Amino acid sequence: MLNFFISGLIYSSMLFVVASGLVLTFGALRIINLAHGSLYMLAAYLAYSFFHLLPDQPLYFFLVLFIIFLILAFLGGMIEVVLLRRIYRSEHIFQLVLTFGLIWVISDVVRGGWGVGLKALAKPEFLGGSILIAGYSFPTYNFLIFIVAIIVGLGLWFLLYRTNVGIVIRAITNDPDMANSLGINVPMWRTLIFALGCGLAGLGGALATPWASLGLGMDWKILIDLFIVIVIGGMGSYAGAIIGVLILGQVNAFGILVVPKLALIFGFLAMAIVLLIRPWGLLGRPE
Amino acid sequence: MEIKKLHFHFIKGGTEMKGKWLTVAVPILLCIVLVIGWTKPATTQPKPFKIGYIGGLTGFLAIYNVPALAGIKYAVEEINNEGGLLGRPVELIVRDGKDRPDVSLSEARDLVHKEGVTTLLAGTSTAMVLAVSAFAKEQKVLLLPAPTAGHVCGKEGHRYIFKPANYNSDMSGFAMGEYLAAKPWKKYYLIGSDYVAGHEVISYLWKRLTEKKPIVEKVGELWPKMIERDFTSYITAIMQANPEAVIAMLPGTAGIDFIRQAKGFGFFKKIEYVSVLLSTADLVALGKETPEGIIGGCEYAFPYCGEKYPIAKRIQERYDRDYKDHNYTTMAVGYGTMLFLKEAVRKAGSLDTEKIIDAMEGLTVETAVGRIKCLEYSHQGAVPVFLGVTAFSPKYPFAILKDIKVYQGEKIMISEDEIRKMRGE
Repeated sequence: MLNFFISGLIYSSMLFVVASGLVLTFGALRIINLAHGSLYMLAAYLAYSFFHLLPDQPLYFFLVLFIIFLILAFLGGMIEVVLLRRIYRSEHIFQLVLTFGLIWVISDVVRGGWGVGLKALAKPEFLGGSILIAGYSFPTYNFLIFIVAIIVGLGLWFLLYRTNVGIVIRAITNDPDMANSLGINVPMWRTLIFALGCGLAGLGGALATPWASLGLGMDWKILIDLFIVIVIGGMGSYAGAIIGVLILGQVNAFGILVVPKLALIFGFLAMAIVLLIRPWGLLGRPE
Repeated sequence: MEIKKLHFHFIKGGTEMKGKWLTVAVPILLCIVLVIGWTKPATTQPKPFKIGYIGGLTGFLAIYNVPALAGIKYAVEEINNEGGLLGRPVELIVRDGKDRPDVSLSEARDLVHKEGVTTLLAGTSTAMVLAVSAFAKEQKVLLLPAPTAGHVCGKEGHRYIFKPANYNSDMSGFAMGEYLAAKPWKKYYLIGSDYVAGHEVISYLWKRLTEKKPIVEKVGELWPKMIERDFTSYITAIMQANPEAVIAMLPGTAGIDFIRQAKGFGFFKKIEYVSVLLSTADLVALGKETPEGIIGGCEYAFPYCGEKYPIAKRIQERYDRDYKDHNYTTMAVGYGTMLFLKEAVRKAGSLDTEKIIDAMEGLTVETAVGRIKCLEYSHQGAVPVFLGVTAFSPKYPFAILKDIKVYQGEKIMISEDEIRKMRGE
């Protein structure tokens, strides 16, 4: 049983890194950035190229993770300033359509840059082995994912609840008008928050590259799981995202033990149940 | 109305006589121009023969259709270099179906009604192909899917659809069932992606295997969703059940992810692995991480086909000049499908759709994977299935399939009687 629990935990970890980024961008924009999965995919392909260019050593591995984070953060900031800012005053639906349109643009960019072939990258040498836990063998790389997720989670918590920057972020997320009237430069902070969220999508993508293969459909695959997580956990809640990824991860892991034929619907079933009991998510707030 | 207006203008500005002259002269001039244009002698260029292509060229379907389209284009180029089809140059019109049956259907309508196309090629997904198939039947237009996983010449088959150069779930399933019957393993675990082809292949395989070797036992089965990225729970469940061998029908990234993640658990040291769908592209993506000694099935074996069949060698080399991904499988399907069209036109001596159809029924063509016969009733080609074992070779940076066994023909296909029953005849 323990091995199933741990299996579920690893995917939850990777998903959390990306989902926490989505929660951040939701806080900044008040809408779901539908292109979040596409940014994750772009980051994965970029990481693939970077990993190929640089030698297989621990230093370079972490350097690539950091660089991809920065690139995606920068790209996210650009998207916010150049595209999203112009339509803040429009209906929510138009903003959603814009992010939806970005999905196709990014998909074509990836296709144009890397072609249609499947790509896979071997895990870095220093993380290539396995670890024994209670008699079960687990790939070492999976634990890196887990550790990164913990760092991201703790880092976000520290940033948001123990720093001045965090106070500003929370203020803008909760009540942008009030924040504005208190003299906070809301547009600039919005860009920064959005950039940070995109950077986290990038980090997730770079982390996922050695673990799962790259293909042109991966933007949609992760987007679906992100939606399930956000709906279960509640929009705008980080703790909700943690709960969401854990539920999804464990439901998938144990679900195949119990009713293997229904693997397709486990995540959606969990989401549907939450929607019936608490439509704004387990830790969300009714708006 | 027009004449009245002209009149009016000229009355305002100039003389009435000038206006009247123009209103008479212009129509006369127009008539002269029209007559000249109408009776102009026909150009020396023969009218092109238009073929329409509709396939998913973006997103995750691209990996199947883009190489297939490349194969089709190579064939079109060769045909045109040899003088075209019965002297008429082939013009290929390409449309992106975007993995949406409604978009594919509207593209098909446009191609047939506006462009006057009488032959359509369609790429995966099967849902798109079936939507166009219904349209093709109604419009009496020839439809050649290249590729599509579904058995479109089975229950939904009809006179106007042919699948001559691409195999089906029955073929890959039956072939692997025959192959495994000779192996010593008894306890099998089955895992397949949860889609139609996944279920069909596994069920055909298991049917044939249990027929030939009744003592085999299924210790479990799992059906991960198509978009699954994380197989750790599945791997854990399988290893816990302790089978002798696993049969996997996991296409594309699913198969690659499964293998890479399973390696970390020491899977391949303990359990034999049989991948019903292991294409060259998959082996290229896996690279050095490919486990040696696993069994793989495919529609185009590398380097076997290139070494054995001259057509394969030629198109493989061409493809390697244009692309670096070694996606030969669907490329060969696209190319082979066009070969069938070329041969059928040659045999029929006509570009009339009905005559091409009559010629294609029962036609045997030499392709990149050997000789294929297109069955008369079903319109399905008896495409070979290649089964082999993975091994590393010093010549290539990725694993190859060796010890190839070829299965082909009616032995590994659903019988004509069964198809007749399916179609309700």
